[in-house]
Amino acid sequence: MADPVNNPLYEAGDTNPGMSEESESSTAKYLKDHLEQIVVDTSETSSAPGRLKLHEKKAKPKPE
Amino acid sequence: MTQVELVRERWLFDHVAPDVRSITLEYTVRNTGPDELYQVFLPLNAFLANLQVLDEDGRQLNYLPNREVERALQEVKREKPAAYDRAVTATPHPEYRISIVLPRHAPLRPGDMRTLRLVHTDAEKPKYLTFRALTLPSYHIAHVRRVGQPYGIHVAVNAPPDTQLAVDLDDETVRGREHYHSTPTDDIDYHFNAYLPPPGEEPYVWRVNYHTGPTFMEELILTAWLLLAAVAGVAVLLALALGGGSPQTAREMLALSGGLSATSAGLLIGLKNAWSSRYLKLLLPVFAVAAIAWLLWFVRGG
Repeated sequence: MADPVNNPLYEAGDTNPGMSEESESSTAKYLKDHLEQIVVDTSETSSAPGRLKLHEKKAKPKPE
Repeated sequence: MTQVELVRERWLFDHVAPDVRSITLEYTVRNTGPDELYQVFLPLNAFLANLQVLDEDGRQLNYLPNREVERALQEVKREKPAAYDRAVTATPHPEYRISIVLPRHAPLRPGDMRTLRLVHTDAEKPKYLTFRALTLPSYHIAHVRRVGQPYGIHVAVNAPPDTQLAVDLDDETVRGREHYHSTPTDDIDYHFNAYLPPPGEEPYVWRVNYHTGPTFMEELILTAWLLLAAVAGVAVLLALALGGGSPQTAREMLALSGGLSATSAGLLIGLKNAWSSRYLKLLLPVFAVAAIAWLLWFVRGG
């Protein structure tokens, strides 16, 4: 087992080096448990080869 | 409630060649909550081919395999449907989702900002402009800005050296807005830049088509040459068919191919580097005509 004192990978305060927090923070379980906290509201952006039809006349929204 | 605020989004399109580009999708995020975060979950509009994830220090970051992400999401959907709705259904473009794993010794601490770079390439083959003699690849970019997104988006397109960038912009719904910027058409040479401000209460769509290619004069000269070469090729074939490969035909072919070779070489030398190497293959049909002529000359004993 790795030595938590002399191994630079471990920082002071690691209670269970080599397991738990390290492995959990990089797993699907972490995603499952923290999904709401870590989701980012990204934009709807796309880019691909080919052209779009631009400058089409857009229908005005109907007044409610 | 998410703890990760998106501060800025940047899209950089760097062309190595007109039909080869590297796309960098850059997210700058801030941790607005009280906990350290070890992953960042990004719903994306499409699958990103040849993806590499880096942070602002150039460190390569891991991301969870697709299968694990899907499994985790299904479990959340089953066990905590309300949380699933808030996190996943609320983002209306979940074609592809990625969960980036931050280094254990460098989580996103409360109040910290981090830039995540998703470097990728196109997943499709290039598409070329129609009714053009030259192969000019074209691309589009489209942004849909939804209400409630408080961050701005930067877009930059860098054309390869020695080429000219042509941009067709559809920005009617955003043109008059404060802080909106796009490179004026007259100033576009090899670079195009735009800033799309937060949408506020009014959503908008911003779209652009672009392609890179030679300048107008270069395209004109190359197109003229291609037409000339095509006409000459047909003439050679006709001469061969009618003359039956006589020494006279071989002499004519030699003269023609010699003239075309000299013209092509002159044209290619006169072009900018990028285009001379791209169209070097134009010399092949000319050399093929010369080779056939020499063969005829030899066989018929001209």
